[in-house]
Amino acid sequence: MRIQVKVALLIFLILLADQIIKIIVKTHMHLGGKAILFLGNGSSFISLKIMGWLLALNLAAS
Amino acid sequence: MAFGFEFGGKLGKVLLTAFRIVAVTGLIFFIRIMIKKGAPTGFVLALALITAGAAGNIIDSMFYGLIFSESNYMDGSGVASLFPEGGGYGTFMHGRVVDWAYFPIIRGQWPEWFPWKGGQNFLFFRPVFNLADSAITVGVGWVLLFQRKFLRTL
Repeated sequence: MRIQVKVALLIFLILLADQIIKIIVKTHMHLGGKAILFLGNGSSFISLKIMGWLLALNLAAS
Repeated sequence: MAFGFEFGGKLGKVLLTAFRIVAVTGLIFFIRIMIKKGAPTGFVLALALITAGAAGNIIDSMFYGLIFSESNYMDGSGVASLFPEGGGYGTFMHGRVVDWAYFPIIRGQWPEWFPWKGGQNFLFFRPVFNLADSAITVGVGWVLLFQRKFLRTL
């Protein structure tokens, strides 16, 4: 795949996912003044998982 | 600009949105130049992540004031509706960025002996953010951690 296509696809997918989540949060979630999705006390584990996943992604790409 | 940090006032909001637009335009040109120069794929994709993140927040600032009604859990107005009959809560370029993710990783208390902060509650990570903020952060981190060798050649 050409690099230009990869760049365009990456930007498009992130924008799409970002906007879909924001619209759902804004119109359906009763979670606080700023529409906060609070993952509570179990969030440490989720955060670590996300950070690990991102690190793996970065290592794979470099 | 990200993670819920804001400038004050209406003019500040317009200036911030204008700055974001200029930054994204510049980034797109920079990506084109880097591709022509044969920059590593990782570097170009990291720039794409930063661009996507910035563009995601620009869309909120530009249009969300027009397409969403006011929503506030605290005052009982509830969730927002999309394309409300009476128009949105703001005008063009006066939308608010929607932050939704909150991951406090460490909660605790500063020890009493600690200067200034002693006895106060401690919370890491406090900012509320969104996917666009994450994309910017990952893109910047990716460049700083894994593309330093290429950065030195610029």
